[in-house]
Amino acid sequence: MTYDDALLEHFEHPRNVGAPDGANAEAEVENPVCGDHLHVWLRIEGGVIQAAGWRGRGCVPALAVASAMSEMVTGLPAGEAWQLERDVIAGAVGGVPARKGHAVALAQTALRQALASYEAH
Amino acid sequence: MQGIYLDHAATTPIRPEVRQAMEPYLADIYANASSIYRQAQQARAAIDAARDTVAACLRARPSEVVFTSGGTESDNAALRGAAFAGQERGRHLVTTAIEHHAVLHTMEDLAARYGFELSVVKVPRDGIVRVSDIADALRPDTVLVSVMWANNEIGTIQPIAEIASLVRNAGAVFHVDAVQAAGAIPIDLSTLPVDLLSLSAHKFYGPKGSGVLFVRDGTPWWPTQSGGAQERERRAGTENVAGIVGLARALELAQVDRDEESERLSQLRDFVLTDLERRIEGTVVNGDRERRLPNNLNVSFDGVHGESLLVGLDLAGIMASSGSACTSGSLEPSHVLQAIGVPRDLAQASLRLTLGRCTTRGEAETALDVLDGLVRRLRSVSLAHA
Repeated sequence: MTYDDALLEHFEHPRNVGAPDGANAEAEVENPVCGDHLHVWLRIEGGVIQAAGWRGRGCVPALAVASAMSEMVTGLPAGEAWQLERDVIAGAVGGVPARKGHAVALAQTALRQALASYEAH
Repeated sequence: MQGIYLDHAATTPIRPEVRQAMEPYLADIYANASSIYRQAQQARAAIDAARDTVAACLRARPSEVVFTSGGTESDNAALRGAAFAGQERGRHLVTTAIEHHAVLHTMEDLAARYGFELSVVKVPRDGIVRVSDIADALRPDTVLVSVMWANNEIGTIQPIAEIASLVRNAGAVFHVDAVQAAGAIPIDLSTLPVDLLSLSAHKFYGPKGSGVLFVRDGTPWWPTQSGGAQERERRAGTENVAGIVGLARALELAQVDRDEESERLSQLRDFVLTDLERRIEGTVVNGDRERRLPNNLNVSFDGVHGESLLVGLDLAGIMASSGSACTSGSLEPSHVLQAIGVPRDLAQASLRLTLGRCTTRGEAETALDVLDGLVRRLRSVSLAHA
């Protein structure tokens, strides 16, 4: 399987690992089919994501996409983060092979559930 | 691209002596061995000589050696041929849950599409088939039993001699998939009551696309491939002369220093395992520690994912294999690891390292350093090890 250099770069040097200080939103999701597991934390202030963090266990794209997404959403209004489509998230790592789409779905689901947990406060 | 190759159960490089033996039949002697002219007779003579060599290595008769395109064809031909030839006597088949898919899927196909009944014997956590479980599965209408000699994923070695005697006494045909065993385990078919046995050249430093099906004289078995009269009408198709010559040479060479090489590999493998267990907490060995191929190590590291391990190793120039789902294109992790009861998350976290003739202590040490760092890094982003 061929992965983009951007994806491999995130895999080898993951960003924003762990909960950021003052995190006030989080979600933990698992793909029951492949067992990939992702925990996402956000610190939202004034409706804007000030910091994002994650931990996870999964295949290469699952980890790389979580890392790239944590960078992508930092500084975004929560509403805009909610609207992020899967192809946009995947684009941050140069795209993901078709049968690895579950990795992007996992990240998007975790992000939206974390945003929802904040809304529910 | 050079690197550290630790995937010898997947395939092996061709030995220089094997390549040298094959070369005349890739270039100058290209005639069809079935033709009449002298060059064709040279090709025919090479096939005959190869058949004699293979028979001698296996302690079989030359007439019992059928050349095929590899392990998968040998397994398919053995099982379909024996099932169809035996269907008047009975329609019950027996195999085990840890067989290679070439056997398991063929058996399942015989059951699904041709009305045979299939019993798949369970295998306990150590990966060793119990003779008593095979005995329990046998029925008066059992016509065919297939058990692999050594497992391709976890390397466990099965009690083939005991199972062979049991099946012989029950009056069924016994097939052994010896694809992983050949080269590491002596095979003496003059004393072992096995009826059908599959080999694949590229697993013992021979060429890809070349295999053997041993068919003991008198075994009820029908050829499954129709066409010309090659292989005494048991496997139609123009012979792959270079592949056949290479297979024979590779098998012959494997006999020469098998015991010394097996000892060297098992010591190197044990060194790797001991060091892994010392350095990486939570290293779990899959399959019996003793009754396994000398070059096979299959371990799981909780909190990581097999594909992440493989890609991380590959980025460092190390080639290995995993039973995790993502690496095989399947959604399910290894059927072998699942069959022996390895929990799903540990099956996803498995790594298979299979050493070979060229593997050095230095390479093993490099691989250990890389693996240690990689597991630590992957665990550092994992939830369980936060």
